[in-house]
Amino acid sequence: MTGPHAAPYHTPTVFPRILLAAAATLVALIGPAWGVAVVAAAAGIGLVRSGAHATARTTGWMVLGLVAATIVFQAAILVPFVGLGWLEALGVGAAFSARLGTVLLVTSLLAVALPPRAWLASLARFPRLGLLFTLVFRQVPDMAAEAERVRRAQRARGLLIGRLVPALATVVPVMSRTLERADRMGRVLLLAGWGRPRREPLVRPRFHVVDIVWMGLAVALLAGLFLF
Amino acid sequence: MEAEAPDGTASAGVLSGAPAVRAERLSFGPSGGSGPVPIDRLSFTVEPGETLLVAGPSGTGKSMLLSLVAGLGSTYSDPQVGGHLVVAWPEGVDPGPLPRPRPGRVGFLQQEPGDGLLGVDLLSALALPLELLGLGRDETADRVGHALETSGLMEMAEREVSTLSVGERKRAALAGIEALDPPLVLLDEPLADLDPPGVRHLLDDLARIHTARTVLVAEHRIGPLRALADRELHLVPSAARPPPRIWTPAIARGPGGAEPAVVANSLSIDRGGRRLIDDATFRLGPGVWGLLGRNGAGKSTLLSVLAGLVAPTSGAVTVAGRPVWSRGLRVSRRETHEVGLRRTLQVCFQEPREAFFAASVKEELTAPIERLGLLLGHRARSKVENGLEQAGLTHLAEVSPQRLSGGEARRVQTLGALLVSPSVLFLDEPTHGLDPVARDALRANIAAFGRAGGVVIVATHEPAFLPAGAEWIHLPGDGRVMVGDAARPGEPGPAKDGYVVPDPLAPETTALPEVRP
Repeated sequence: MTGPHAAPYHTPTVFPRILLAAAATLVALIGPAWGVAVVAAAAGIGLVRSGAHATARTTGWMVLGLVAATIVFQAAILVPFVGLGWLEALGVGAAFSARLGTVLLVTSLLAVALPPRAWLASLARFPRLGLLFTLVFRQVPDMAAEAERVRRAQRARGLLIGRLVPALATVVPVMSRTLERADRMGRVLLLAGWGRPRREPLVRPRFHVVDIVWMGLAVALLAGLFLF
Repeated sequence: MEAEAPDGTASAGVLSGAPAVRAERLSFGPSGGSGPVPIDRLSFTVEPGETLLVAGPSGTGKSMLLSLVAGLGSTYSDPQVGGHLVVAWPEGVDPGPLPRPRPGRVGFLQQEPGDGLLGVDLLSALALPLELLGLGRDETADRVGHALETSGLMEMAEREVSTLSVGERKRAALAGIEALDPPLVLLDEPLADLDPPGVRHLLDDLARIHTARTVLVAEHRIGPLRALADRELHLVPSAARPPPRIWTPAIARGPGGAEPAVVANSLSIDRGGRRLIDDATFRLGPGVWGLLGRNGAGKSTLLSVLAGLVAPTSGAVTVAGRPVWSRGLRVSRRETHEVGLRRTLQVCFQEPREAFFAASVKEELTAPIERLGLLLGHRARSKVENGLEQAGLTHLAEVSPQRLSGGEARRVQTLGALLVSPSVLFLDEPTHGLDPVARDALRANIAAFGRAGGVVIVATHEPAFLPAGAEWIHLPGDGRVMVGDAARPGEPGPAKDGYVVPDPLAPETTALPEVRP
């Protein structure tokens, strides 16, 4: 039924996917145009099919924004200062932004494919560091939600009227409560006896058959890049 | 020491790990405190395997007492300590007046249960304490898996802790205690903020956990817990404090002499990809309104939208004649509009300290009065001083608002809202952390506000808290907003969510007796 071999006790291992993402990034940056197109298409499809719709949407907008900004920026420099024609400048800008956009897609896909628990499970072989990152990953979403609630509550009281004071007013409770939370987490760790040097993590990274595929793909991409 | 089963149902073998807890004239206060210490010459005994219910007004040191029993006395810098607190572990008693932390021997549910869940996902969070104890992987998996299954939380094992609701965090933290299997369990306000089904789940979990363990529970809602307790300890404040008096508000009319009302027209609200409110139209006139609905039904979000703090998806909202939203858009971004709205409408959110920024309670209360241009300088200050006296809070005037206890912070927050003299008041879970005396005072204030012609909306899981004659709003969780008779506790809709009459989970409302041996 349960036991250390049940599904939730494992996360994907991070290294094959990081390797693949690195190889894909390299192709996106220095590979041929068709290679960039293939990587972009693969990453895009992967992102859309991952089910992380919010991330996919955000990444989509970021890529569009990046492409637009890069093209405008390149044109603004290349046309007056380098003396390129408008069409040529647009071409250079498009090529450059396509590469950057592809890197963004690959990075997003990696973030979606490897949830925080996978990174932490891989870090757990370094006990102190693993614990530190666990606390960081744990705090950040709570802090963000709290900052939002603080602003809302202060606005409701009528404190955010005027200019300078409001920013300061918001910082005080967020800081004070973050310190309190750190204090409570410290007490929890003290109760748990955190000083133990060695621990056997329950959630572990596991090498899966598909990881061989990822690594093979990464090697193929790198080989292709350097051979052709 | 060999423990004896108190009622003969649990075997001495199971109980052998459970410690007795004894306090002998224990005094404890933070460093530099000039006033009375929170814990003052306290004596009590809990035998191994017994459950002690700790009750008492806010600020009497209930949380502090649990921390000391847990062995966390050393985390207070340079405190004043008197007498002894002994946790009689079978393996021996710690030297010194206070016990020391014993990893794996104490399960502690703190007031913010999320902070005890140290892991990004629930499974790793529950496993971490066991890993730190040096348990092997098989044993950790067995215990965590078993705890998740008995508490019915298995399907959320991989959920991220930050996405869990208050109720889910509480139950998860209790599952963590079950996995740790400690002989001593300390629970600090386990029932706070839970909806009726959540309270029932938690009581089931508690009934399972308290068997064969020594348990100390601090709680204001002692009614539902009395069946589990072997003993009760009622703490009394070390200094007599003036009782709060009833506020008599003067409710101003809106623009054009309109009587205060909260009106929503075709209001729709989406949150996290889910439709919370779907095309709702309602009018809430003068009086007291109880807002019912399960955790996550959207009570707090609805209040934020009605208060002009969070944008709805579509629809219009008008508060006391002032348009706030129209077709889902803010009606005005002008500062005068904002000032007018905040003078008319005050909101007390769930966690009062999140809104506090000043160095003292007095400054904290003066700031909105000045910022909203109601009164300035010494006039504002004297209004605050009068208010503090009337609310029985003068002793807190110079205290830092971040250092207030939960109940004190709640009373300061409510006073702050009333000092602005609004005609519309929203209170989100206002009973959290309040002792019976403060509850009664708040109920009387709410009733007076409604009688004077103001609109009060109180989001609560305790319908019995509301004054007689209150009207009701119910969020069944399917996008509708039920207003009026269909929303009354005991009617089919609210009853389905556990709001029945009489409320079986209603807390004690009368003042508590003095210390009972």
